[in-house]
Amino acid sequence: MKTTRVWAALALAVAVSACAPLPPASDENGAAAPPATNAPAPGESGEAAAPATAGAVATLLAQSRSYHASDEYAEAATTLERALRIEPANPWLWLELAKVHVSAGNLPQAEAHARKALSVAGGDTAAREAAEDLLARIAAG
Amino acid sequence: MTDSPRSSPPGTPHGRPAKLIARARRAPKRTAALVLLVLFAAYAAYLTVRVTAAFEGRRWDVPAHVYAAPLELYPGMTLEAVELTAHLEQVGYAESGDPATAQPAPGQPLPGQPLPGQPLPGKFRTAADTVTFTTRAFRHWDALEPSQTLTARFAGGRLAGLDTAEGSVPLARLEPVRLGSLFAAHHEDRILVEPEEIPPLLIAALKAVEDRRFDDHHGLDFLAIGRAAFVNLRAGGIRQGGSTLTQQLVKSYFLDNRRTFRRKFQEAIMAVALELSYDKAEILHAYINEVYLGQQGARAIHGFGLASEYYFAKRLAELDLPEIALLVGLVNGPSYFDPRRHPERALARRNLVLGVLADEGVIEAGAARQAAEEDLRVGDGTRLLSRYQPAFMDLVRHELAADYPVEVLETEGLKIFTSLDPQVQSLAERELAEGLAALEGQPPDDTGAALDGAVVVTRHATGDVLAMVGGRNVEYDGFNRALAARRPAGSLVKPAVYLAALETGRYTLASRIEDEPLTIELGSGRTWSPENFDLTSHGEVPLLRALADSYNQATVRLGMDVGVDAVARLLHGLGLPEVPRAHPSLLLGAVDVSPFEMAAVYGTLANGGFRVPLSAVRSVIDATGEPMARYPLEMTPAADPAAVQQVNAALVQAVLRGTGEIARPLLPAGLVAAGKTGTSSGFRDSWFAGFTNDHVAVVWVGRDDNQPSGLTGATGALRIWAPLVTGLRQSASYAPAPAPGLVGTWLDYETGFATVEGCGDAVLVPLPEGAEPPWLDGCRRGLRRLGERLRDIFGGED
Repeated sequence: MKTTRVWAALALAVAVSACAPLPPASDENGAAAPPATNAPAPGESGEAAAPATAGAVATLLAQSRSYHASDEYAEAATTLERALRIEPANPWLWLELAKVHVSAGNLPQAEAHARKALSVAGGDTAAREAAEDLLARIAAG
Repeated sequence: MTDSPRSSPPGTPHGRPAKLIARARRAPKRTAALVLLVLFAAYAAYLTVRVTAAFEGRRWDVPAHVYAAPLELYPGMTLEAVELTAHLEQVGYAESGDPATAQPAPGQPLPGQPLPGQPLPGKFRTAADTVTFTTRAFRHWDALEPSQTLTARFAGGRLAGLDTAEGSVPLARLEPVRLGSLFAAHHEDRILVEPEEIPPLLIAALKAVEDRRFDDHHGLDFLAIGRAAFVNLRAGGIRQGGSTLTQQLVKSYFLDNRRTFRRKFQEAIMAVALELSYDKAEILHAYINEVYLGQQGARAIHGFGLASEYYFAKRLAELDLPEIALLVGLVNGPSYFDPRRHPERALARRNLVLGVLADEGVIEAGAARQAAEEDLRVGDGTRLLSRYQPAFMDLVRHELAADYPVEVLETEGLKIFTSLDPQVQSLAERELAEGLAALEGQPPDDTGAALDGAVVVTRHATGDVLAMVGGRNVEYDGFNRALAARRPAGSLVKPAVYLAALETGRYTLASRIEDEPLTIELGSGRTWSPENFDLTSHGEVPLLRALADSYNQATVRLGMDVGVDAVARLLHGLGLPEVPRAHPSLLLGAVDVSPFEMAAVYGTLANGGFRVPLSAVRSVIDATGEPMARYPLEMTPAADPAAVQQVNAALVQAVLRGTGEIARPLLPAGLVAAGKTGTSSGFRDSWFAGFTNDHVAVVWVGRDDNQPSGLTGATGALRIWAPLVTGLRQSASYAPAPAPGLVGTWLDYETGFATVEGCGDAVLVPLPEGAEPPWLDGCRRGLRRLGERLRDIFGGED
């Protein structure tokens, strides 16, 4: 019991600190923008511009954040999985899922998802830095 | 017995010996009668207990219902109007006239049905480039999606917009297709309907046709029995039953169709017992959920709820007069009147029912005549709401077995939400069936026994199993090749050999290895000398080409260098359930794997080295809609992302120019896919495993008797894989963002030397930063000359 409480407190601390740098719609890049741009950034992979799925993904991301804020981690994760089915290579979605795992106290999964975010970030420097930042926080416990 | 104790006159002990004797005889008779009565009472009590136990048990025995994945609609997605309407029809929506609002119904409005003027859930209408439909409310694991009216606009093969009366919406999650249920050993399947979902017309029709005096009798209808007895006496055997609905219900509980008098007697007692224990409405409700109405292979269709979906792809509450009349007509002989196999009989039977309904005053004669003009509308069964998928259900059962006891699955009415994509599933079924037929049409060098195959399609990012086909006969609930056929993997394992080599950091895609004869010592004096498929050695080749062209000698040499153990462990890490035996022949695929296991291995490659276990079950809710388990996406880093991306680049070349080249003209122009052929020794197994940005698809073709099919991976499985992937319209090119530490580099395909675009046989592949392969002769000069010219122009410093 005691250890659970310690973990929960730790997770909460990490969650609060991890969520801070990416508040919805107040990031210096305009936070609505990063998740909305489909992952292989145009020009990066030589692909045509991403289909206009941004609205759906942004909606799910916002929904997931609201579940996350009310500690409904399973619902938050389910909602992010829906978004990932639409944009599987969007680093911001993987990053968000990593944060949900941090809040839920599942640090191994948090780390795996943050690494996944990093591996698909490509030329999205903001996403890469956010993933590296989160990995560092997870490593620091 | 004419005399009774009460009527016997008082006798005297001495005067009337005859009467004394009679009394003495009567006493045991009385005892016998009493004993008989007690025995009968005990027997009746026993039957009562049995029948009420059956009634109570059945009332709550609802098998778990299994659902496919919901369709998510969002502007920008690849979708045609016909694909949307196909989905709507699959979940039982009917095309309606304009406007799709409830009309004032001729009879009483059904409870729970919308009032006149309100949009009617489960209806859609189409116009030029738009589909307007009203959804039914549906409880998903995480939320209830309320009923809403949506207009989907289409343009250029995409969903252009999604509008409600209030404005446009970014996303809508539609209700999923019901796949079937996890029914018990009797193979009885049913969908329980609640009393308020039962159309009053169905109740009236059942009574009119099957049991006119249902409301008045106590389980038995003596008038009907008398009439039946008369018919049977004249026929000299049992021809006609005077069974009430209650008796039919009893008969159905005990699965006995023998028409013996003893059975009839038991049935009669049980029917009376039921009537004493329950009211008419309860009995009728049980009957509607119980009665046998058809057969689909091993699956018995029970109850009007399932029958309605099985025959019409509609909810029971949405049936109209001719449809209800057909189902009521089926009660009498579901196989004799099977509307799909014997449409003429079924039509005659339905119209007979309509006539009875009119005669009994249930409907107007005009309505009956009008309904009799209608088609049967049962379709060919290809677009069913609950098209049973044996192979996929096999996987679902397998996964659930770990967490739920069988009794819970078969009785508690759980709702199981899965990952199956009905569109992908039917595509996979069709491509396998057509592909195998085409392959058999042109037998390469072997004919005879039929080919069979298996297909698995997954969404690798989330581990969703989208489709699983266990053989060409998809309705056969038997050997599921996708899960159970474990066959030699052949060259499908080669990417693991190259991945193990690249992960050491000692190799890059540009590293050159010898594709020359070699002999491996196997111990005890045995040796192994692998040969190439074309029986030719190719000299020094880069890893890129060795993998894309699937050279055996180069692969074995590389694998022996990094160690067979390392390759075996890596295969396990990528997704094989066990570490395969580390014998040198493993390097060329001497390991038995199922198509499902191969889909897991290729999924990890497609995911850039992150392993997401494949699974079918996403979440479970209970009968009341309360969320139960959820099976979340879980991920394990299994291989170095940079090494995986190099392997995948070689697999892209395999499709573009290597052993999978044959696929290229079969794929949509511009779609980049990665993949690998596999052929086991003696041409027994033909494999292709490959992926795009979104999907992994694995196809196996071979024979159940393990005889040669004469097919290679390229001439067999790939012929099915390519059109399958072409049909996956949501699939985008495999074009990953470069993993950290990699830079795109032009290499000459033949030699692995550095080059520039357009010089030599140049291909762009990711290489680790700092890997500087030697320049290809003549191609570097071109670059230098260009550089020198630029310096001349801009006057830069060197």
